[in-house]
Amino acid sequence: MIAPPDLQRRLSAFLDDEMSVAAPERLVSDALTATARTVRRPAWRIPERWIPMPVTLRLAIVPRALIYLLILSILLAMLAAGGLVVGSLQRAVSPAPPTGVARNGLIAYSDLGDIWLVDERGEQRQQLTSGPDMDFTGAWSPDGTTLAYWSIVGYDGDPANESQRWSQGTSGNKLALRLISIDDPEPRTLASVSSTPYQAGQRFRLVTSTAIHRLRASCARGGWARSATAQHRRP
Amino acid sequence: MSADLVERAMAGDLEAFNELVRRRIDQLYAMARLILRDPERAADATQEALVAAWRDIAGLRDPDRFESWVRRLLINACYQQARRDRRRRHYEGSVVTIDPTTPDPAMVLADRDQVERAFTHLDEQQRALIVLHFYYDLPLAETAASLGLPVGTVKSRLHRTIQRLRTSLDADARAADLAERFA
Repeated sequence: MIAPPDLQRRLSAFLDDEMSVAAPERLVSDALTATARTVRRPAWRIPERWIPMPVTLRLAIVPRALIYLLILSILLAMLAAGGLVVGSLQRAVSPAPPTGVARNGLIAYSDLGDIWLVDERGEQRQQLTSGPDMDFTGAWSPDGTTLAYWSIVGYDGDPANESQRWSQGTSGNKLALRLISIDDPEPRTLASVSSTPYQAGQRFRLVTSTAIHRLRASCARGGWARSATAQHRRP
Repeated sequence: MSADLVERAMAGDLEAFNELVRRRIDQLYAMARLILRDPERAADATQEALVAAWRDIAGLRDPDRFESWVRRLLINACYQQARRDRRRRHYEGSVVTIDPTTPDPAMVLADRDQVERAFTHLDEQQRALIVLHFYYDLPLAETAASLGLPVGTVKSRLHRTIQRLRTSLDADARAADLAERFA
């Protein structure tokens, strides 16, 4: 903003005149006395002292859902690691027993709905289980005295029909887990399940008070459960 | 050297600061008197500004800015003085020395009185603005820095101040004309 020349000239003359006034002598002496009594403030300094204090870090940018997902992933990883550790401990304590060799060195196999024993040369064949039920291969206990095996109770002798009924869940028969000792050939049923549609890889887990007999049933697509394995584990 | 004195005063040399005071106090007092229009309050404001300058000079970052820094301290001290006693208003009538070479001393005196009356009608902030911009010839940015205001605010205030001065001068001139006509 520029003032009109006339106003600027008059203003400048007035200001020059006013600014030529000298300060009173008393003011000079008073000011010098007052400043002599005034304590100076220190100059600016960079603060060098660190004050310990609790600091809470907040991730303002990361969405809360992402944090939950991260926590869940960590928990799942911990659970998986725990399961691996426990599993390895179990294996170390109770190594997998020989599933096909009894204490007396005979090998169990299934044939014609019964379980048979035979030595490694294929001789000394003897029948372990008998009866109308369809028995098939299980696994020996760790001490090799007891065999756990599968048995279909009420089997009518036709494998094709039985396989179809089991895969459709229409069979009235039961799948039983049985134990039989080489010293006492009287089978003992631990547990049984009714016929349900099952698929390849489906697991049957039957638990008793003395041991865990974990059997895995498998079948070809649309076919009969051709093999089953049983694994003895200490509780 | 003024810069040398400032640096010594910043280091705590009271004698150097006193020398600075002796060199600047006339101009500071005159400026305070212009802003406050009262010699007593101007003296108080000048002393306050100088005391504040000595108290805080160690924190001055650039010795070359000493002049403008003290000016700003003085303006703040003037504002404080004005706030302290708004009711006490008596204006000083200064004795003007007339240059005998001037064509018409009576006209010069009358013209100066008119400007002074118009100037007195301004408030303290407007007077400080006029002194900084028209006496020290400070550009707008520097005037704004001295007043601690944004440049835009200073620009609009300067515009209003000049308008007010012109209005007062015009009214005074019309009144003088009427008085002369009906005399």
